[in-house]
Amino acid sequence: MDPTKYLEALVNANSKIIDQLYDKELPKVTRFVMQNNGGQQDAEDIFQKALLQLTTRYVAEPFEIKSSFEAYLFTVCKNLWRRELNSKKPRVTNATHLEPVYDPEDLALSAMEQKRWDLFKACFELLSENCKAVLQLFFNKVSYADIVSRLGYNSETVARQRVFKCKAKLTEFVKKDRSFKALREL
Amino acid sequence: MTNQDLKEISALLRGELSAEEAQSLQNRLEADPELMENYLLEKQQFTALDESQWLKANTADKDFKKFHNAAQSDAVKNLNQHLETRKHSPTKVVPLYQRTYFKWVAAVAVIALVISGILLGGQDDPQTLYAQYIDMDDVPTLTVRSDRDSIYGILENQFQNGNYQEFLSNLKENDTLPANASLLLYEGLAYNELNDAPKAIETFDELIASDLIDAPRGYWFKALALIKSEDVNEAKTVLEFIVNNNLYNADKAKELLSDLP
Repeated sequence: MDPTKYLEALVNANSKIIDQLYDKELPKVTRFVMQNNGGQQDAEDIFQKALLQLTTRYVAEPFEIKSSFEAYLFTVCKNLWRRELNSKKPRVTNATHLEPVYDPEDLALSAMEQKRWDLFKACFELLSENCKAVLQLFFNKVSYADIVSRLGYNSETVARQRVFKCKAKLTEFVKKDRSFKALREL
Repeated sequence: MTNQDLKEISALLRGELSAEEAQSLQNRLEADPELMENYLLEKQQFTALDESQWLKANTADKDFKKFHNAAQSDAVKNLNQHLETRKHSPTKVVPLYQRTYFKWVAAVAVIALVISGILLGGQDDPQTLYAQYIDMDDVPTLTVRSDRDSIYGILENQFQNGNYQEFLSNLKENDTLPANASLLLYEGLAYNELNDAPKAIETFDELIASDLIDAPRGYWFKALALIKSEDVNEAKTVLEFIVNNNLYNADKAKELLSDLP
């Protein structure tokens, strides 16, 4: 099904489609959350937040999902869970005191962050395979010595030059993007 | 902006500057709008691609009002109400762990685990280790390519929905697709999930022998396939190779080696 149809179904709170998503997609999200220090309740909350976030974003400014809806929904859930883990505020998930899932301010912020993530990922995918590999290591704080050994460069100087060139290319792609004007004001 | 500026900004983001150097750069950033603009761009790139970090947007951002209004729209409120109702609906599927029969099965499983734990000296058996270490999310997505050719999207869906047999048949029908590390990983994992260890290992060997950028991932998944097929000794050899050559998932390989019986 066309991803936009899913977004429209969410805007219209279409029970049939929502049930399908819960049946097919929630188990994958649960598996991911449980593998990453979360529980069943966390997974359900994240899934609900993801659906609300997508709807918020679509209402704010209709957007296009270029992958399958299911894959995109999973990415949104993963990002939300990482965001949750990285937030300083500890979550309360016991049965008697649950944090509310619907928080308009937080929904707005997470939707904006997902939009930014999309832009950088899209620009990143335009890079060559070699650039992607070297930048992925660089941004994950792998040392230059390790980058040299993993990618077979002759020296750290060569690796540094490669990182510099690839970042320059990425910057060029980002600056060319229409969405960048809004981003730079973040 | 000079190359030296860029190096300093990178070092700041990577936490490699001393407090004094960081402060000095911070002062320069505040005084130089162009440098600050480049710093912010670097920071956004750094954060967007480092999956362990997340740079938060804030309420002062330009678009916030628009998104905040959307979050309070009738559509979002209605959807939330619907999802909340669904949560409390009596027809909702009872989670597995809350089902009565599951409690009995779980009790038996716990006893079995305790017994096997004692017999194995506290170490998990290969099947448990496989379940613990396999992570389908380690496999890069195919969907970016689906923009150009929807077959990748279809294959990814079949794989992610666990329709491995269907995925393999479809892949066979499309055997002219260009070499792709993710596809080979998906293929190997599909065979693995269908308990066809020889085919899984053969596929991972094909990836390892290729010149694709993700070829080293093949070692990790080959080791897991060997564990699933209970060939622990061969798995250990592959894991040691990963650790010694600092290949993909070297840290996990080290950990897994110490967990193996």
